[in-house]
Amino acid sequence: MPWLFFFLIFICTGNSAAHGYEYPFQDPFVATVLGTPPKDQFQLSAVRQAGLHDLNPLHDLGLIRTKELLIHDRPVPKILWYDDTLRYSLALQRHPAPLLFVIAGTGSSYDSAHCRFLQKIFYRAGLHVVTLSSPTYANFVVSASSTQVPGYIPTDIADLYQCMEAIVRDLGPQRITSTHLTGYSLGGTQAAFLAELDSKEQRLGFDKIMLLNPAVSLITSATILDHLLSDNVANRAEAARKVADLVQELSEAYKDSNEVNFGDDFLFALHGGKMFTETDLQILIGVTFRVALANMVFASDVCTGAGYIVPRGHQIQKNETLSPYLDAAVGVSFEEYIEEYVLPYLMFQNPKLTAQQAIYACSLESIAPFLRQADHIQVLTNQDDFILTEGDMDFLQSTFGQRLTLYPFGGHCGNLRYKDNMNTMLNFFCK
Amino acid sequence: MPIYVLILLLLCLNGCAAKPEHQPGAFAAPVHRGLSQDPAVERPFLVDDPWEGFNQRMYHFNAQFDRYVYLPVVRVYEEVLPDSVQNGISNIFNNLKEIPIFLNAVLQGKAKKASVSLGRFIFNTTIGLGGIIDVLGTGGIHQEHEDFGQTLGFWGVPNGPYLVLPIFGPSNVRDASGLGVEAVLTPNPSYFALEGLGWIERSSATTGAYAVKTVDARHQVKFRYYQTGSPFEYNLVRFVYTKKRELDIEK
Repeated sequence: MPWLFFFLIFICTGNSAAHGYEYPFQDPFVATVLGTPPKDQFQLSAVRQAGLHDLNPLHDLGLIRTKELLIHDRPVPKILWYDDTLRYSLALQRHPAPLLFVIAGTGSSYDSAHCRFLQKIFYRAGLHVVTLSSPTYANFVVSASSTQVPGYIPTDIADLYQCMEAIVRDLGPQRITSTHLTGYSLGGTQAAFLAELDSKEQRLGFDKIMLLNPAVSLITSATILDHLLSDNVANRAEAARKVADLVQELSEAYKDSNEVNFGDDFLFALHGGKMFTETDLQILIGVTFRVALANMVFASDVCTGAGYIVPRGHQIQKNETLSPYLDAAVGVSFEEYIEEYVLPYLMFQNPKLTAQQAIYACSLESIAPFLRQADHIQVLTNQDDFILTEGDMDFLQSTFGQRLTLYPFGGHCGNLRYKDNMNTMLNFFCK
Repeated sequence: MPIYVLILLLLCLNGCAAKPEHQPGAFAAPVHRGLSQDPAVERPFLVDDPWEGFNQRMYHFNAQFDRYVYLPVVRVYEEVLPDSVQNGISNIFNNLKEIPIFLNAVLQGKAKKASVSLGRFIFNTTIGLGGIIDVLGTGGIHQEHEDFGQTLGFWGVPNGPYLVLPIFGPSNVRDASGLGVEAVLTPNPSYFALEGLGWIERSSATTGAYAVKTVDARHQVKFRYYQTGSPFEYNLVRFVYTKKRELDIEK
């Protein structure tokens, strides 16, 4: 009865695999929206029990703080006056220590929940931690981007590299024993490119680099995210109605619940009642992406004055209503943004560049030979991360081999704060 | 000496004025997306805002005040005092807020909220050493949100137009008028501590307490202008404020 034997083996291994990784959400979209429930998150005390000096109330003074840096001394559009300097967060050890840079994902800031979480953990583990906004975040576009046209990775990472150098200078190189780098989502992709740039420039000398749920090709992944919305709604009117419905449902749930605030607890409590359908979740992810995109497109257009959203030559005044611009910007999909704005801009700067070359330059495939032999780079991602196509997954496997850690589920960055994931990261950076 | 300061200040102002205006670059986009507003599309985030011009200006003013005046003071406060002392100060002021919360819950006939508020006030004032420790909050009984604007809303007074107040920020005509009533109902902690002292001591202590209260109020609010990263923050805040108030009144 060999088949029964195999069947038993199959059941056993199947079970043990499921027991090996107990992240609670097996649906990739649920995982992406809800993340990790607090009880399953990696605990700060797991890094190191709070010692006597942690109890000293004076110890926590001013060690994690938001800093500002003037990168380009150039005039800033009136309505974006507040974004003249680049904001980032610095957690500083009292003694010389390794420095870890964290790059946020698409449209996210240095202060996003993931960034703050990673900063807390690695700071407790004894590293200086600097978190940086994504080059697709409005503050970065206005203050630190050299072209102010985000979305083209080669220029974005050159800007990031310049910021990192400025931060290291500001911090004082004598305080830094070694430099590490990580990033999630698009930040992961950028980290890989930065590794390649650094191997040529040698100005920062990254020691260890970890890519968390990176996109292989920016265009492919962004298009997938865009389609989560466009495949589920017929047109703008329906999309607006769907969003209005979701807001209404959330409002009703809030009114009926005992929670005082909209927080993570509230979302988890809602999901206990299975209130979102799969389509709802996809629309939610798609809309979030769209809004992040709209912020970026508008900020970029105001800075370049290219006349994509705002009529060319028009200076927006501080008392002018922005609703029509918001309306126009939300209507832009990622593909349209690339075709109608980024590519024309790049070709305006460099007439010899073709669309294919530009798109290829934003894919990890363009630096595959470097990645294959770069032993100091590791990748952490999930089998069900929907921003990756099958081809992307094969590429990661063939390029990184043993250096790729693949979790069975977690969606896109949903399991980032899960115990096992954080342990892998800590083992990599702190040993 | 002051003359040098004055000259320096003037130079600085001149420098600011001489800063060139932002100019559009050479690149022109081949496509203009247009600003046509399709009336068929529902706009779930649009809030009626007849005074938008004034409100937008006030929003920018508040953000500037926050950046150059309010937050630097709060930052010094946060750096000088240990976290535990800051929490204690926040707890004292929050405890005194229980009085208007209780009254407003009663005015709306919300028995459960009123009893929670009363219980919190009694236990936190006694066991919590005059409100320094939020005993019940630690135990999971958190402060309710009730104010006079909500009471007016509960009894059917409409919002009135959306209004951005100087320094206080997002509001509407109804809630703004409620703020005055709140201020009268919330006692100053120095009233209790300084009985029997002379007028000068009392008035300076009162002023001091208000100053700390103002700083603590900003310290407790995690919101920072333009940290949402959206150039459309004004629109988002307007929607969230209006929606949240609407729900809290119905709740």
